[in-house]
Amino acid sequence: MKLNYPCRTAEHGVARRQFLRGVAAGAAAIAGGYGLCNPAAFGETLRSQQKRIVVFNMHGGLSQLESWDPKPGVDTGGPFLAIPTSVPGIHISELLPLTAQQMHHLCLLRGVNTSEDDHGKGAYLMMTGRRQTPAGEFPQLGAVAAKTLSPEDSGLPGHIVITPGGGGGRGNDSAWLGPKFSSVQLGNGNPPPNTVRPENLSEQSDAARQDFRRRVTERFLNRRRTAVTEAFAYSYEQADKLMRQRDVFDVTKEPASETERYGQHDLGRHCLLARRLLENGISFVQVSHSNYDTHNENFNFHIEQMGEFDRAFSTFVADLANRGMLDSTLIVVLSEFGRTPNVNLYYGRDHWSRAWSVCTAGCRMPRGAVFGATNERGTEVVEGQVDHGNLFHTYLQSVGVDSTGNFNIDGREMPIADPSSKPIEGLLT
Amino acid sequence: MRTLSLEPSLFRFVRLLALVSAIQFGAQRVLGDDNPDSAVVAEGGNESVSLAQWIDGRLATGSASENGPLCNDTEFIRRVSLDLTGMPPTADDARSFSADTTADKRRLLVDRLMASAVHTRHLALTLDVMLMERRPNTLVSQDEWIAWLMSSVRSNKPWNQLVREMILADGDDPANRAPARFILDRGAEPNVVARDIGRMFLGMDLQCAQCHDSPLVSDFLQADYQGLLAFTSPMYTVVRKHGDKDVTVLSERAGTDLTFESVFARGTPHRTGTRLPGTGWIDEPVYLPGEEYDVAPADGVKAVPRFSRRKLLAERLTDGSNAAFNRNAANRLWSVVFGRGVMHPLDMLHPDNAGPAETFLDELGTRFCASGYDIRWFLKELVLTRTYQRAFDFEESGVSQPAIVTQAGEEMQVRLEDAERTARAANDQYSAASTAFDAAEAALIPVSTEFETVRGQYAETWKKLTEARKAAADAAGIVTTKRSTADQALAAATHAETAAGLLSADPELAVIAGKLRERAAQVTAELPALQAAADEKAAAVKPVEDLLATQRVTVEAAQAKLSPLRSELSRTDVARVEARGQLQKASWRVADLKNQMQLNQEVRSYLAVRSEVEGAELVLQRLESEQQQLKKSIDDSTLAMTAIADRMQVAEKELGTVLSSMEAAAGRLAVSEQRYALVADAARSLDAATQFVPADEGLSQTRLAAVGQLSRMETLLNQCRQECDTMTEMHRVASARLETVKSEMQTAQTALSQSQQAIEIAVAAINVEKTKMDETSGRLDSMSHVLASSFSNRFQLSTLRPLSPEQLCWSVFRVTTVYDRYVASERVELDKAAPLTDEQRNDAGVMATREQEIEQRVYDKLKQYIPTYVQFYGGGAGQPQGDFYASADQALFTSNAGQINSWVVPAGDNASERMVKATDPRKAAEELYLGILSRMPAEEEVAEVTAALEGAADRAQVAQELMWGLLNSAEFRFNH
Repeated sequence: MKLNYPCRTAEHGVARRQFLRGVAAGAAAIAGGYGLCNPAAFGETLRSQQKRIVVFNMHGGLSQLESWDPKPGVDTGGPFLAIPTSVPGIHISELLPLTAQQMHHLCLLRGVNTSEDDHGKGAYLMMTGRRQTPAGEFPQLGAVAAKTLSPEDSGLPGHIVITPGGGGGRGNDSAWLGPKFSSVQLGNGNPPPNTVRPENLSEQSDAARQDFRRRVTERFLNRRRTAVTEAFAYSYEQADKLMRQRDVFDVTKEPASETERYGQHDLGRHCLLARRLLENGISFVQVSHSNYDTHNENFNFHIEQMGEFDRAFSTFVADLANRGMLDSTLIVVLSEFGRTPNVNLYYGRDHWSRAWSVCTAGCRMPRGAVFGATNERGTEVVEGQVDHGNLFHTYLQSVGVDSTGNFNIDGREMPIADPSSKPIEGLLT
Repeated sequence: MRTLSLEPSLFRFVRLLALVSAIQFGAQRVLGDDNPDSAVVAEGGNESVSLAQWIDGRLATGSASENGPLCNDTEFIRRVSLDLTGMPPTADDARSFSADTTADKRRLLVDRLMASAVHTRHLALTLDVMLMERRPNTLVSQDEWIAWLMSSVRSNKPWNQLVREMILADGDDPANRAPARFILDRGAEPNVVARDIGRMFLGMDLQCAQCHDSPLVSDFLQADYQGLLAFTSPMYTVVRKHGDKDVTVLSERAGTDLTFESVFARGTPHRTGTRLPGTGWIDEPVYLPGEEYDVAPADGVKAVPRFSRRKLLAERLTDGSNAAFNRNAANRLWSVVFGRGVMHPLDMLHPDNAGPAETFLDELGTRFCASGYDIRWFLKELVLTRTYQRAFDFEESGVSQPAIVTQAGEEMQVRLEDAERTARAANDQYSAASTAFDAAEAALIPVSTEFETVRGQYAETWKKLTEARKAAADAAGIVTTKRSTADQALAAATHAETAAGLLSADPELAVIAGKLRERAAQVTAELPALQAAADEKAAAVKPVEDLLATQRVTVEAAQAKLSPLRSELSRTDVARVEARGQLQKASWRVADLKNQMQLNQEVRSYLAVRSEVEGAELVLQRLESEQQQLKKSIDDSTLAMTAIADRMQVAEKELGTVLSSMEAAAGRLAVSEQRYALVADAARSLDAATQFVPADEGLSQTRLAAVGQLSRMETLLNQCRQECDTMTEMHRVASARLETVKSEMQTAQTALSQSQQAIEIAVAAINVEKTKMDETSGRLDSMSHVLASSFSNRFQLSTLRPLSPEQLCWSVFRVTTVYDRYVASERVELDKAAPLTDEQRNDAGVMATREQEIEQRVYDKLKQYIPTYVQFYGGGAGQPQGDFYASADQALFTSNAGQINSWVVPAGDNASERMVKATDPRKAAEELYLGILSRMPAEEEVAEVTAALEGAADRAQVAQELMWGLLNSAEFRFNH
């Protein structure tokens, strides 16, 4: 006897939705559940409080001395002055005059020591919170954020990387969290591929074929319904939502005055796009600014790069603050490492991971604060030393994720952050 | 040179033990030769059963009804084609297979598919993904690698040989570089290679055991990981010149023992040499420094140690003695056709992760080993099992009766308690064995450390000796060179003097001769000092040699002291391995029983809900029959009331008639009375008048007439009165009758409203029951899906498995007829370029080669599309590839990218073209469903297609919409 209970009644529709929710939890268990939060609970109530992370990745290694931790007047200090900021007593480099006016929102971490002077390895540990090991990859912050912060029913991808140039695609940065959480890369800020209906396909025709697909799939799901089949069916609904929300990715929909405020350059556009994405509920956005690897002409280069950054970043911070988004958005400005206090023969600074800075803002980060310090010449951390592991834990704690917990991936418990490390003590508000 | 070797007898003993245990498990010693006839494994003496039968028997649960029915023919051809060739059948093949009435047609189909070139391709690609997990080709090209896998599959290379070749190949031989990809494209990084050997060949992901015993899997030990690492840690790559080409090849150092400690228990060092899970520490010969290499390491040189751990690994892993190896191989091949392992995930084979039927997987591994690791035979047997051919749909009748299930649950509880006792005992034994091992290890470590120290000193001295010998040789060389310089200068001086004598006119010659002699004297004078230095250097060699000889004695002494301790350690390790094996078995039994009990619980909950639904159905039935009765009584009442109303109408009418008659009669009476009164008055007047005028004849006559009249009138009056009385009576009767009818009506109305009230209550009750029923049956429906998953995880129902990126790609090619169009055109081209004679066409071998060539050419043309599918549907490089995930960008790709949209346009005899050509909508529906889903459409589906096509302005457009719809359906995405 085949099951022939009513399957098309309204009541069953309700049951099916309940089942879907149950399945969402089941799917989480199968595709890697986040043991500490119940995905089913990601409903409307939480959406309004959904936390987000935005990372400004200063590729190549931003000089802490020309930005967050200036040392004017000493042999390592370089030619630039330190200027007062909106927070009395806190000074940053004169290359960041506009950002200085936003200092009351920021929290500078001046005691970063990551002991890794290689670009690739440094970038890896800053983005994953762990040192690279030969056998085994770790997911990047964006993948963890997408998994823990994105509402289950969101039609938008949770992990976005805006790349300076080139085409889009999907990054290989989610390791065992699976490709679902790997980054969607927006090449030079362009919308993701395949989000426009083919020209020769009418809206009606598309609706007709989608409708047929839905019915055929529903019939199959009546035969066997699992987390996997539900996830498959749902992916088309997600695609539909994404297409409807394609404008979210289209920064040209912003008024020209906004573009003007952020600066008429790639970084300006990318920062504006980042704001747009975050406003629309995307959990993680990474903006890149290249390339700070200034072995030659460090000072001239920083004048130029910091000029672009100062305008775009300060506008971004001010906008988030004005829109009330700072309580729910964590901002992180990081690099793979800092630059040597010593100035080399070519007026350059080299790789330096022993004493550098990361700038943060928002969520549980204190406002208008400095944590940690380097010595007079900027060669050693003398107070509040933190490393990549502490930072990674702290970012997650700051957005409400218990970083000491585990993911359950296909029956394996995987620590969310490096279990041998911990969040920075006494920092978060 | 003399070799220091650790107790060769012990070495042999460990090997022997491994063999004995292999035999105990029923495995034959594997020699790598093909022996497919061993497919028939002897069971219980003379009786012979095939592996397929054995599997079905072994997986049969107590209650036969829990083993579902088999799938139908179209389901089978789709399933087995996808699993063996990576693509579904063509519409025509599916149709003709359905129609085929040959009894043995499923077996014949399997033979046909396994002989096809696409099967070779599919298996090669499957092995590629299984072994390399989409790692990039950094040192070995994909074409070379796939070609090697293809030829391995074609020759049905045994699994163990395949593995052996991958471990042994160093990539230096251009003709045999491909198998070296396994190690080379993992960068020959010892940790990566060790972990993946654990995962791919032993089914154990020991990553978490790298730094400590796995906190999550009690059976995954740090010693297992470190033991594997001991095999791989000597490997590294060197760049060699092949002609003018730089080629990276694998090289190997001499291995040493590894010291490690747990990050959870720092300060307690452990030591291990090469060790395989399930066999323990393997003893190996130890060579002293200077004697370790056949070819010593140097730049651009492929070093060859005298004892190669890579060779040891290749041998020990694959010789049939390792149960974990056999179990893993069987499990991985099982997953190729079942979509999931007997135990799952594939690299988590440990005692707490039970599959069905306890030690079934171990026994299956043993049988696979006994067949000579015959992959083709094994896969064929798997797809011929009833287990493989299970139906997909959950049949409620497949669930046993509640009483049986409850009883089974109770029996399981008893068995579980028993199994848990056994497991506890096994665990105690294992703990005891571990304690003994730990003690032996603790005893060994200081002695081992001492040995390493003196060995280190020896190595130091050896280095010094090498240096001293070189210095002595160099100094001697300088003396020789100097002496020859002096000799030559002297000879030149003599010649110059002779010349000067002959040419006495030239004084310069004499000067030159003098200078030469002077120089010769100078050089000669330097000689004694140099000679002394050389002698000194030569003399310096001896003490170092002496020291080395002394140290050698020390080392040998240390060695001798160490040797029994290592023997003891090996002995305790073997005992521990044995105990661990017993514990594994006991744990599997416990875990399987727990799984069964959980399933039993699920079945019981299901049955409880089912009986709830049945109970609710009964209540509903009762309520509905009550409702029916009430309805009937209402109907009756209504009917009766109509009759009453009719009668009432009649009565009312009658009463009306009577009333009007009565009124008429009364009228007449009144007239009569009036007239009578007048006549009576007249009569009385006439009477009086007659008194006055008695004889007036006229008057008298008149009076008489009046009296007569009066009398007549009285009669009439009386008649009228009587009539009136009658009428009054009739009126009374009619009124009474009406009253009766009215009261009847009243009664009927009361009854009706009562019934109506009752029916309202009944309807409300029914609605309540229906809501409850919907909720309960919804729950039952959900539970049936959960139960279906549980059954399919135990292979009692067919599993639902997503197509791999490659399967998806080739399946799209097949159902859009792109694949078969390419085959046709390549065939034409090849037949034109290299025509076959009739004789060749009758030669099966030639024809098979031709098919392979065609397949290769089509593959080469279409393989460019695979990366797109991998990009959207595959896992990350170096990550497990079996996990399913669905994402929006996949749906966006199939919805909006050009490829699929262009392939659903009617063309090349594809489904949409066939639909357009079909005149009958039923035929169109059949072409659609056979073409994409390899099955006939159900009536509902025919109706749907008919409705879409009928009256369509653009049939081609509709056809491609429908084709796209099926291509994007869950039924297409999953094999089932």
